[in-house]
Amino acid sequence: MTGCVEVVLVGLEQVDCHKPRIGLGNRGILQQGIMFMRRNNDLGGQPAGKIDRTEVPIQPWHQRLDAMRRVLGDARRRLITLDEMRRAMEDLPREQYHGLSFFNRRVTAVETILVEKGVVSREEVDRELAKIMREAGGADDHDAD
Amino acid sequence: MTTMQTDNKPRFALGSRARVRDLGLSGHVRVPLYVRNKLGVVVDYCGPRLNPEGLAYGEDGLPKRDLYLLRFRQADLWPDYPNQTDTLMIEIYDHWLEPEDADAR
Repeated sequence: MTGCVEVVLVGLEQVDCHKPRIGLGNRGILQQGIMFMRRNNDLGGQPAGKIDRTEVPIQPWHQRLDAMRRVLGDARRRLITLDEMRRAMEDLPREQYHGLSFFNRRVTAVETILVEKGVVSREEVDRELAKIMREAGGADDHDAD
Repeated sequence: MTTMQTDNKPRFALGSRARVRDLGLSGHVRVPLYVRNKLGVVVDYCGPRLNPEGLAYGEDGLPKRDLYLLRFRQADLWPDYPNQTDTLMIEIYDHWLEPEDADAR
């Protein structure tokens, strides 16, 4: 098959598809005719523009998040695999995937996986978040890089 | 739980040519669109590994899949690529590969 890359670049719609399901694997053969979809992370060959090489300073919550993820995924707990992290991030709506910072994508993925597995509920997370925001006087620096 | 092909001889010999299949799977896979249906050379065998397509959904990732390192000519991957000697290396799982002569496309 020649000229494949051009075929790939033309007319591919994001099929905003599946809600994560545990256990069953939400994958399947796509109907013939749909071909395949381009996942958010599958960017090879796409027009990209200029690369922003600004260094982003590491913040304490970045480190805390990474430590948490590793602890949750260690040999004793096995609650989060790197593959689940990737899947949860790739499944984000396109605008979110590209709009969120590196660490915000990850914190979102951790939440998604823990909610899927019933470790925490979305309501608990929202409640805690609201409490923290109140205590911080309403300042929302959650999106800070 | 079953294990498969862990002790078997790898299907592709080093130096042999293999084509990346397009399995049309949705969900998390580790095979970017730009290598699908492309012909590459097997340059390393990385052993049987848990399948990320299962691990990504909370499954056990079994049966393990053989993982290979493949080398492609950049000129085979991109239209009008100017340099004929540049290469790209990528790891691909066995079930995404077929022998060069599997079927005429």
